Amino acid sequence: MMLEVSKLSAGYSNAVLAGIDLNVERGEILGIIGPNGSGKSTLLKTISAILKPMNGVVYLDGKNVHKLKPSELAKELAITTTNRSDVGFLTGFEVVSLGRYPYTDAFGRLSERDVEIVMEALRLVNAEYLADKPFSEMSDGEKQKIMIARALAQQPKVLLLDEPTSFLDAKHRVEIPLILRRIANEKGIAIVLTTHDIELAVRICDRIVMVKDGRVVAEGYAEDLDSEIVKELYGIGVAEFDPFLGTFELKGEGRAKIHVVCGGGSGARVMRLLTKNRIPFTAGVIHENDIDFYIAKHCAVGVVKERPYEEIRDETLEDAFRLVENCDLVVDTGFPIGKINARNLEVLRTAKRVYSLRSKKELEKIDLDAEVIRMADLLKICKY
Amino acid sequence: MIIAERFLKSTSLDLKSMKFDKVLLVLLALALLGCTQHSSDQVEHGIVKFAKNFQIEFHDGYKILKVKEDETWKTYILYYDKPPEGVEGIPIKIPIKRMVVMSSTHIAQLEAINGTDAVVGFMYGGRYKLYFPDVVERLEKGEIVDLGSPNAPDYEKLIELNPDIVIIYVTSSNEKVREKLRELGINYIVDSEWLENDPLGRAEWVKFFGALLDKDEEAEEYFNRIVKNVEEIEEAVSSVEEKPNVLWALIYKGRVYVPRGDGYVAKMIEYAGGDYLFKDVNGTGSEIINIEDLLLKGQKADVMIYSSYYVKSLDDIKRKEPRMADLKVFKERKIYNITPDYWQLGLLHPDIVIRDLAAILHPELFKDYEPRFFVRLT
Amino acid sequence: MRIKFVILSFISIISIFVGILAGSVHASIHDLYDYLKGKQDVRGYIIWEVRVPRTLGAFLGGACLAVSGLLLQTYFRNPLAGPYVLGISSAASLAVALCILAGMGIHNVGIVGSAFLGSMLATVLILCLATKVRNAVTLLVAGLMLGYLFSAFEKILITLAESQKVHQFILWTFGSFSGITWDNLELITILGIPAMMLVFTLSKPLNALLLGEEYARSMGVNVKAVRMVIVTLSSFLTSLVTAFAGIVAFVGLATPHMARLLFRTSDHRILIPTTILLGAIVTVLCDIISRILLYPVELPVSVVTSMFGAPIVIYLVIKRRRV
Repeated sequence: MMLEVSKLSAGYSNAVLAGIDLNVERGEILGIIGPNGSGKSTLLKTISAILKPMNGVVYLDGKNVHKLKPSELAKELAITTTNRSDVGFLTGFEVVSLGRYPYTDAFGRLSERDVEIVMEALRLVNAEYLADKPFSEMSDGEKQKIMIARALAQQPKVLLLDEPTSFLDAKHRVEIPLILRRIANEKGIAIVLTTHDIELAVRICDRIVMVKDGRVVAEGYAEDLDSEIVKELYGIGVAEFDPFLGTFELKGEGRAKIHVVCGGGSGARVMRLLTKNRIPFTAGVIHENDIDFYIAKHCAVGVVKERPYEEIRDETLEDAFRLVENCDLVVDTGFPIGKINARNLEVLRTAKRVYSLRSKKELEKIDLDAEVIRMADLLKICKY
Repeated sequence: MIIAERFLKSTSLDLKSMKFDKVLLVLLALALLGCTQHSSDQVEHGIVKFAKNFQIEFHDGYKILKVKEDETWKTYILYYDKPPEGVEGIPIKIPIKRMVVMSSTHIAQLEAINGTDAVVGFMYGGRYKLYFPDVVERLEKGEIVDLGSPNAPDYEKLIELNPDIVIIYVTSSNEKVREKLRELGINYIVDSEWLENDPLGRAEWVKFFGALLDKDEEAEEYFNRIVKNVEEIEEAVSSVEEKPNVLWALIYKGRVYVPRGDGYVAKMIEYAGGDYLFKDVNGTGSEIINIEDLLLKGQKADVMIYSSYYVKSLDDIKRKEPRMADLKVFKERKIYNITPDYWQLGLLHPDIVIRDLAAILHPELFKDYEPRFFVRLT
Repeated sequence: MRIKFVILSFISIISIFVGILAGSVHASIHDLYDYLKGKQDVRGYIIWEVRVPRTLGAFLGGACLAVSGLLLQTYFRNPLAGPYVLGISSAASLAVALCILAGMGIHNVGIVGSAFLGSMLATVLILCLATKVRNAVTLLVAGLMLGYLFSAFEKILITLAESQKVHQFILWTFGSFSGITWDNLELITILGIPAMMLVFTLSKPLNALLLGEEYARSMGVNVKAVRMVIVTLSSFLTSLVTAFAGIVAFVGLATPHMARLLFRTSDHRILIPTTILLGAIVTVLCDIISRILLYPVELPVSVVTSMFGAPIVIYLVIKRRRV
C-alpha cells in the first residue's frame, strides 16, 4: 500500500473526522465523496500534514507522514487545493517550476534536469502551450492544469486533489479526469481526490470511499456503488442515482395525465424534459435492456416493462392499455419499430390523442393517426 | 557681596521705605559695575539674582558663564585674548561678533541691549510675524540669513555663516539638532529663559547676552531699570487691602489652559497686586482643566485675561463657550485679551506688562494709563 | 531584464550624486574631492558633513523600508500591506510621544533610542502572536489591531499635551532625514545591510509563499520558521529607519509595486534587489525635493513621498492594468 490511513481523527478545535481508515495503491485513483461539510478537505489536509491529527496515523510508503520534515514529505506527496492565489506576473512555467522546490538549491535555480521535469509535467497535463502564458490570464481550468503539473513536478508518489473539477468549465471537467487517469497509469502515482460530484467519481475512480459527518459510511469499487447508499449519503429525495447510467435522474411524482411510448433511446430526451418541468407521466411498453427503461425507472410515475429481447406479451399490453386509458394524451417519441416492439403501435392506436415526433410521411406509412409535433412544441402541449 | 544680597532680598519684601531702597539699589549697581573694572582674583559671587537657570561670575580678565542644560550645568569660559590657564570649562572668545539664534525671544533679549547687529543667522522659516522692524529689514536684505525651522535648519548655510556661537533652546524633540551641531563642531549654548518662573528672572537673561556680547553694562542697566520699575509698582499696590481676583485662561476645543501657580504668570499677577485664582495649582507650565472648574472659580474673578489674540470680542468668547456670559467678569466687561506682539515685545518689557496688569487691577492708582499689551474686550 | 537592472543601478548612483550636489550652498564634486584630499575647504566640508550622511541615510533608509514592505506584501498576499501594518510605527510613535509630550523619556536614550525600543517591543509582541496564530491573515489582523491600540494611547497623550509640544511631535511623525550624522549612518549601515542581505536569502521560500502558506508547506517550506524570520526581519528594518527618520510614508507600500510593474516579474530573486534600489532612489529624490520645495523651510519627507508617489503608482496601474 502506498498510502495508508489508520484510525485517523482530526479537526481544528473539535474533531471533524473520527476513526477514518483508508488506503490507496500505486497507480490507483481513490475518490472520497461526501456532501459539503463532511470533512473531506480536513481529511486531505491531515493526510498532507498541513494539520496535525488528533488520533491515528498516516503512512506513506511505510513512513509516518507527520514525522517527516516538510522538505522530505514534499518529495513524496503533493497536493492541490481549492485555494486561489494571485501570483502576480508568474508564467505557467514558473508556477510549475515552484514544484521543484524540494530539489533545487538555496536560490531555487533550475538545473537542466529540473527544466526537463517541468516540461514533462506540462506535457502530462496537456499544458505545454501554457508555459509562457501569465498564470493570472489563464482560465480556471487552465490554472487547475498548471497546479496539477506543479504537483507533478514534485515527483510525488502520492497526489492529493481537493475538488479538482469543481467550478470548472465543461471542457476541463472532462479533460482533467482523463489527465488524472493518465497520470495514474503512466507514472504509477497513487491519487486521492475529493469531490461532491458522484458522477465524476464513478467515471474515473477505481475505488470510492463515502464520508458523512466525519465517518466512513461506505467503501468499495466504483462499479459496486449502490443507489440506496447514495440516497442516504446525500439525503436526496428529488433524484435517484442510477449506478448503471452513473448519473442522477430526477424522480417523477404526481398523477400522470400523459403517457409516453418510446424505446431505443428515443424517449430519453422527452422523459427528462417532462420530469425537469415536473410534469408527471407514465411510460410503456419498454424493454428492460433499453436505455429508455433506465430513465423511465426514475422519471416515470409508472412503467410497463417487458423482458429483454422478447416480443411484447398480451398481459404486458393490457397493462399498457390501462395506463393509456387514464391519460389525456399520448406522446409517440418516434421509436424504431422492430419485431419485438411492433405491438407498441397498438398502444398508440388505442389512445384518444396522439402527438408524434415522426414525420407525416412516416405516419402514413405505419398508418397511424396522430398530430405531428416537434420537440420544441412538446412542452407547451404537455403543459396546457 | 553677601550682605548686599541679603539686603536686596529684604528690600523686595519690605517696601516701606522705598526711596531708601532705590538709593541702595543704585549704589549696588554702581558697586557691581565697579567690580567689573577692578581686578580681583577672588571668586566673586554670581551676579544673577532672580534667574535660576544661569549664573555669571566675573574674574580677572575673563568671565564664567554657567548654564543649565537638561539637568546638568555647563560651564563656559568667556575670554578676550586667550583662555585662562587651569580653569575648567568650554572656552568662548568674546565679544561674540557673529551669532545665530533659534527663537524670537532671543532677538527680544538682544534688542534690549542693542545687540541685534551681531545676529547673522536666524532659524525663522517665516513661521510667524516678527515685531522687530530692524531685524525684519535685515532679513529681507539677506543680512540675516533665514535658516529655516529650528527642527530642520539649513546646516549648509549654517556652516557657511561660520558663526561664533549658536543660541538654542532645548526641547525633548530637538536633540537631533544638538547632535548634528556637535558633529559639525559648531559651538552652541542654551538659553533657558522660558523655564524661569519669575518674570524678573526671565528678564535677567539679558545679562546672558550681555556677557556674550561684552555689553554687561547695558544689560545691567536695562535689567536694573526693569527691577526698579517693578518694585515701584509693587510699592504702589502694596497699600491695597483687597486684592482683586484674577483669572488667566485660554479656551480651546472645550479644554481650558490655565497657568500653574508656581509659574511666571502667577508671579506677574502677584507683582501687580492681584490674587491669581489658580495659584494653588502646583507646578509650572499650563494645567488643563475643564469648563466647569473654570466657571466655578471664575465666578469670583474681578478681572480676566484671555491669553490669546484670536479672540477679539466678548461675542467671540460667548461663541466659544456660552456659559462664560454668566460670569461677573463678562457682565462687567472686565475681560482683556493680549496683543499680537505680547509674546515678543512683552518679554522685552516685563515691567510694562506688570504695570499694565496693575493698572487693570487698580485703575484708581494708575489714572490716565492705557495698557500697552492688554486690550479690553467689548 | 539585465539591461533594466543595470540602468536602475546607474540611476541609483546618479541619485546619490544629485543628493550630494543639491543644496543651498554652491558646492561641487571638485570641492568634495579637495576636502577629502585634506584641503581646508568649507564647501567640501559642507558636502561631506551635511549632504553625504543625509543622502546616504535616505538611500539606505528607503531601501530598508521598501524591502520590509515587499516582505509583508508577499507573506500576507495583500497588495496593501506596508512596513507599518504590524503596528511597528504606532509603537515607535507612542514611545516618542511619551518622550516629547509626556516628558517620560528614558534618560540618555533620547528620541532615537525610544523609537527603536518601542518598535522592538512591538516586534516581540507580534512574534509571540505569530507563534500562536494559525495563518497569515490572523496575524495581519492582530498586527493592525495592535497598531490601533498603540495609536489610541498616543492620542490620549496628544489630548493632554500643550499645543507647542504636539506640533513638535506631529512633525516627528511626518518623517525627516535632516540632521543625520555619520554616527547614525554607521549604525544604519552595520545593521541594515546585513538584514537586507538576509532577506535576499529568503527568495526561494518567498516565491513559494506566493501560492499561500498551505501550498508552501506542501512544497517543503518550513512555514512556521519562515514566518518568524519574515516578521523579525521586516520589523527590524522598519524599526531601524523609524528610529532615525520618523515615519516615512508610502515608500514601503508603493516601491514593491513599482518594481513588479517595471520588471514585470514576481520572482523575488529579481524583486528584492530591484526593490532595494528603487526604494533608495525614490527616497533620495524625495528628500532632495523636501529640501528644495519650500526653502528655507523643509517639508517632512512623508509629504513628498506621498504627493509624488501616489500619482505615479496610479499612472502605472492604469497603464498596465494590473498591479
